Amino acid sequence: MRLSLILAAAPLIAATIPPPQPPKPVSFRLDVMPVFFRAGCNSGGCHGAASGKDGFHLGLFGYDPAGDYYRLTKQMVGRRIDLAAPEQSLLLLKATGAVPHSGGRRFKPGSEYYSTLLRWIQAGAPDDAANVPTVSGISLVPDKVVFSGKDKRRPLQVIARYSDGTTRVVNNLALYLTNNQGTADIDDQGVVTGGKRGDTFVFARFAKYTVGAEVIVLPNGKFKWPKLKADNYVDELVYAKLQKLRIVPSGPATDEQFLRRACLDLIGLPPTGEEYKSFMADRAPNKRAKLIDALLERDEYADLWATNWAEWLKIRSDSNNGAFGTDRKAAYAYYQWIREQMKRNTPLDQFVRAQVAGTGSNLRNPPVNLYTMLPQGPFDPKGVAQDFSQVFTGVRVQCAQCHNHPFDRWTQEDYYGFVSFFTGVKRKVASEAREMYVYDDPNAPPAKHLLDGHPVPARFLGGDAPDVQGKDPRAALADWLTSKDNALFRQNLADRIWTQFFGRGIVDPVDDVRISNPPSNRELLEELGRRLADYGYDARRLVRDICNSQVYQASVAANDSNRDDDSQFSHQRLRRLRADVMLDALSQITETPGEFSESPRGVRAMQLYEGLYRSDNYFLKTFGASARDSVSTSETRIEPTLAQALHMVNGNTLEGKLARSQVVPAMLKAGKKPSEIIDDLFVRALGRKPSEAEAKKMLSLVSASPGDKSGYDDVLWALVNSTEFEFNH
Amino acid sequence: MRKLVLLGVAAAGVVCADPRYMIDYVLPRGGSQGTSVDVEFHGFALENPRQVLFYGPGITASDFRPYARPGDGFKVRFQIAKDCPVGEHVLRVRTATGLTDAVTFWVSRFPTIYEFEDKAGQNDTIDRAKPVPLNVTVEGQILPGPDADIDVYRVEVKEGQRVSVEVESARLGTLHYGGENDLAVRILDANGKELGRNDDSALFVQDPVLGMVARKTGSYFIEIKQQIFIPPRQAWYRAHIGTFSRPTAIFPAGGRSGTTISVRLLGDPAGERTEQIALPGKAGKFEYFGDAPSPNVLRMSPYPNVVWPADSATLPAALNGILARPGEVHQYRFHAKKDEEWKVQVFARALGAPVDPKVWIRAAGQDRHILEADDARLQDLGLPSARATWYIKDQQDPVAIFKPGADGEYILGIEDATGAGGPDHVYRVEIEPVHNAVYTHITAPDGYQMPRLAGLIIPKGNRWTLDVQLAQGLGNNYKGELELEARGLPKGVTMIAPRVPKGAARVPVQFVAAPDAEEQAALIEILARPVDKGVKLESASRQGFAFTNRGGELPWHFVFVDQYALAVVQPAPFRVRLSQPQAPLLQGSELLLKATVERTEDFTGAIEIQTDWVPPGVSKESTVTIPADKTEATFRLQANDKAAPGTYKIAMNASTTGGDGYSGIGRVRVSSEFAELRVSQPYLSIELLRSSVEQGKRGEITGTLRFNRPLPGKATIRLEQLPRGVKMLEPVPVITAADKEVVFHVEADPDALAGLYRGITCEVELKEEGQTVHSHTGSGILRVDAARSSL
Repeated sequence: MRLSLILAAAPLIAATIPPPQPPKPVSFRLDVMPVFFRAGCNSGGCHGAASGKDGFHLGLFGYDPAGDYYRLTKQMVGRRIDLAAPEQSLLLLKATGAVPHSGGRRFKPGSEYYSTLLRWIQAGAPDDAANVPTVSGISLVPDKVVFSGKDKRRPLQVIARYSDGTTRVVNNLALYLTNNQGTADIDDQGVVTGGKRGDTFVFARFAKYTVGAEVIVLPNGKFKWPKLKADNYVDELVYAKLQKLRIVPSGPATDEQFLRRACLDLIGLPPTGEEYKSFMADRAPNKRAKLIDALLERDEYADLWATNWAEWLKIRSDSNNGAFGTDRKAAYAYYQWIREQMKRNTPLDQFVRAQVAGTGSNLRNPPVNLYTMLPQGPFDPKGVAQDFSQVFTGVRVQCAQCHNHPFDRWTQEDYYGFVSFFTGVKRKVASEAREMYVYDDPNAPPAKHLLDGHPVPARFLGGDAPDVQGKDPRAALADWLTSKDNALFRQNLADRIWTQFFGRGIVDPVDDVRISNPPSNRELLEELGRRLADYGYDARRLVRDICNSQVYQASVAANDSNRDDDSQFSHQRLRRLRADVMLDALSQITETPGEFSESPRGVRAMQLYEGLYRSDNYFLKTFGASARDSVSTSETRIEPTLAQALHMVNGNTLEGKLARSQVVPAMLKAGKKPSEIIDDLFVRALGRKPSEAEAKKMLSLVSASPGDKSGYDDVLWALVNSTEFEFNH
Repeated sequence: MRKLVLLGVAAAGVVCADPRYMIDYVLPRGGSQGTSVDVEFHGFALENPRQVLFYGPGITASDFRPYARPGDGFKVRFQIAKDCPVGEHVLRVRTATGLTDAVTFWVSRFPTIYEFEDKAGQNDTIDRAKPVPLNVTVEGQILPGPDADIDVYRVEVKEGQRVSVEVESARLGTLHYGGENDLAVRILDANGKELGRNDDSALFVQDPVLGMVARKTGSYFIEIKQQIFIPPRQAWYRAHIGTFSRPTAIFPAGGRSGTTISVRLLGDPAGERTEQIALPGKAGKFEYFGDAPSPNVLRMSPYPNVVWPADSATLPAALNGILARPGEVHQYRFHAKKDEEWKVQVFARALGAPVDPKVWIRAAGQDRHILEADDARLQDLGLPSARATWYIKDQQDPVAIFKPGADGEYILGIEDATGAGGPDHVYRVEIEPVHNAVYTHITAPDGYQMPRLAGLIIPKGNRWTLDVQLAQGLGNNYKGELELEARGLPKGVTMIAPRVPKGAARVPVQFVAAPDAEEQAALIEILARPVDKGVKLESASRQGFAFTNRGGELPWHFVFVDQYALAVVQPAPFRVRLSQPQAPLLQGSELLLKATVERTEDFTGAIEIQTDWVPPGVSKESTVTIPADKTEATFRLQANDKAAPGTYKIAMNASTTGGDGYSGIGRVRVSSEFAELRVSQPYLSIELLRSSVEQGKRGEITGTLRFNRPLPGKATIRLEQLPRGVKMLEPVPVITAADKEVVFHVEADPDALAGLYRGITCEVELKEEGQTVHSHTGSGILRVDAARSSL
């Protein structure tokens, strides 16, 4: 009902906007610059490239109007702009393709864009007065569109607001993009066309602003929402969205499926035979909740989250003996500190705060290693600011280093203001080469703006500039970051937790938060963030909410309505096991301890404090373990490759473990029957008993010499080479 | 002890001895006062051990017992006196033909108990803990292998009793290279509950210190393990476990020498206490042990203490305070006169206090700091450094020279650079008049103490040349010539040291052993003395040995000694003579030195010669071998254009082959007598005029002659570095002192590549004192033009 109201209201809103009234005379900033933007002249592949293109440079996406004016009118007088013969200006000849132009024809002579540029040149190519209004925001009207069925069209209006209070429709000057062309396409005038069923966003960009509108395409025909009882707010919010999209969620997973999934997701290990038996035998109605609680208390839960954070924080040593405080000892100390916090369930705001505002020796106060591991070398405040923002808010600000962010709201002023929190961070060698003191020099100058070098005082992302005169600005940064009011922080943390249990963020990827990458279920993300903050940043409490939801416990099997859904959590997702989880699973199944170079025997892959980095392990590398080269969550890869398949089939990891394993000999020695052994192997490897057909087939493999280990090795080999083993489902 | 021997030998089998060091490692790592210990030496070229040379008193060695392969090492009995100083003892071994590098042996006041674990897991848990009495030193090992070895010891403690643990592990420096032995200690109760833990300590950097007072009578457990797993190599430790007091700092950290001071001992878990400490007469460092296994470092100064909160001082003075709270800054007011020079030196990290001190000075009433100092270089502390990578915690303490621009009141501020503070954050600032100082070092250019370059091993009846470096102390104002003085030379040994010219940083010095000198080892000093006798100049010998060296030349442990070891060894089977070169070595030219060896009848081996030391700007070939059937060879020197003209003493060193050529270990080496090497300007320089030649044609290149001094006769001149396809035509031009220019005729092949060629140069050949001398001069440009017909 709400949707149809919005639909009806939209034209009304549009009708209230006055018709386009371009200010007179033609303004360089208000009229000419948008043409460059719209025509793509100042994009990164063209003249907006750092060194320009074919000798002509424009500020990327128009971030430097004064510079652009100079380059057009003064840099080569009479060439680019010909005031005597305006039509002969190279600017127009190139743009219309009248003379050879690498970028080809951008617009036709006589077009609106052409006429704007021509009129400007005819007027003497004037610069704007100092008080020229600037764009203060844009909006897309309507901001929500629902289509019933395919191929429906709907025009959107892009309205720019100016600092003098005026507005202007800029459909002709804006750029458009869609997050999913299959569901909603948008043309160069802002007309949206619906495609296959789904939910996506289209965007308009103008000046430094990007705004989005949600487009929902519903299937034709009748839809009946089944009677579903939501177990908690997670279910309520996911179901509400699904209902809106006319998607029916999948049914619940079986106990066997749930047990394996919960173990893999919560502790990074499959259930053991004992755990399987006791869970399956438990008749309590709340046994799933009990299992979740028990797993949350396991040390392996802390191992798993310590590894997650260690990957996001790039914890690894450098090979040159830690000349920058990144010795193995520092990496270990940082990792152990994180693990300890995860084990104690330290509230995440405190956990982050200790790192952000930390001071002192990186060996005695390990969280200060935030400032050794993020740089992984000489300290660069810009690099640290970028990583910091991505890890703790999910926002990637790096684009704004050189130009205002093209797909988000961040400006260079925002960027350098944020960098200024880190310009005072100092590091120096302490008692020995491995130890480094990290501290702040409160008298250090702030960052300088790239464009004109003006100092930009410390300023929160999208927030205020705190008074940090003579103080360590990182304390203010920590206050702002971990404040309950900071939606960026709480929502990103909540989304990172969510991702652990679904293999996909509500914003996806979870560390690419931007206007043009909106959450697939905003209400859910907001609620999870709010809850996490209300829980005092108790991560386990949020994990408990998520894991106890029907949404988490749903089957992976899809129905007709949710088969195409990949973003609304209407069914569980098939997820290949992470490299470390898979290797640890193999070690547990075969009861062979992990062996990694420079680690003592028996350490699990999930406990390697430098992960893949120092373990020199082919398996981990092949299966996509994070190299910890960047803070990006995409460092951990789970896509299958041929090399993985070959390594499982032919490689020495599985072969070696099977050869060393004493699991089968022990069972044979204990006098177990072949069928019992096969049952045991199925439970170990897949977390389930074999079907009758499977049992029969497997028995035939060992029947020739039932007392011989090798037949059972073949069975186990086959089981762990199955996709069922390699995936969490 | 038998087990120890077996373990040691097995480990040596796995890791081959490093041929850069004669002694790879020594086991056990220490012993106790008033006992005797059989000590194993493992290494390379250790045949015929004759004497263990200790740098300090308290230990004597006797009864050498070589291994089956005598070069691999030997056992020897150490007798440790009852009053032997506690702590690290530096020693070297003289063999029949050599002198080893330095290694350390550690003496404890407590009885030593050996762990005897031969398989990881034997004492890894509380249940399997090895019981030990209190007040012992446990010598144990983190066993090599894939399993992380943990060692747990059980002690019985009474309620209210203090338990202190101090571990020596990184400090032991068991291996020269690698063997990163960074251990951590925990104290657990009988339920396994952790009562305390320490990994690194402010006092001893990598080595942990831990203490507690027992709340109830019972068993307590000391757990020792690697802080992070690093495949263990000779990972030995000596853990002192007892009821001793282990203060983390003493305040004030020193006083006037020759007085008794009242101090507060801080950081003891049983609480702070006050003691009286008598400081001996000599200014400098004083080690106060109390009943602890390692000392707290105190300072003695010939001027009084100022103790915070007193905040004004009359110079010279020692300022003492505790930066008790984070961000605390202490300020002292003092008066100073224009152009006085004061050395301002802070002691905090050097004392073991957890402070990173920063000091500054400003004029009273002004904000601007006229002096700011945070850290120090090793040379500022009068210590040698290798490759600028050596680093010790003491370098966190700043030292600087303060020279006021005007008479007046000044404020000195001291604070922690990182803003830290705490109850044992003790500092001491000593402000005293600057004095002149030049130190001698004998570090090889690569930073190692290679016998070939930094050894002092003189075969009887022969001589040895040593490269001595001169390092100016901070604030030294004496820049004149120096004489070197040797102190402590044994009878029959003399030093021949040329006068050190102004500004020279390295000079060769010779030691000569008379044929009848006794074979022996001795500790000597080489001191710099000003030629101007009216100048007061402090000098000392400073040598550094690195242990547990790591990639990037970042060792964990150093031994700095202020005496050099010298050995007189059995006669060498040869001597070497360097013929006095008649001609000078000209800048930009080469000179051949002639060396002759004289072998004893029973020695027929090949001999390698090289000079080792050459003047700045002069380079040399690496080595020249005189084969067994030859007695003579030439050795090439080359001077660059900037080699400083002058007369230098130079010696030819000769050694047997075999052993390790780089370190000189396993070789017998002697020196020739000094010869004089003259480095001179060349007779002339030639300026080549820019010229051109056409493909397939002839052309001329003209050079203008500039004589530096009269040419003794004729010289022939050839062009070199001509482009491919262009040749100089005969006859070769010959010039005399009367000529003003020289003309070369050149011809270009038809296929010579057209283009502009730079760097054409001339080789001047002339005869001087019967020797042909070559030198290079000039840098010309030749253009090769395309043949006109082809255009």
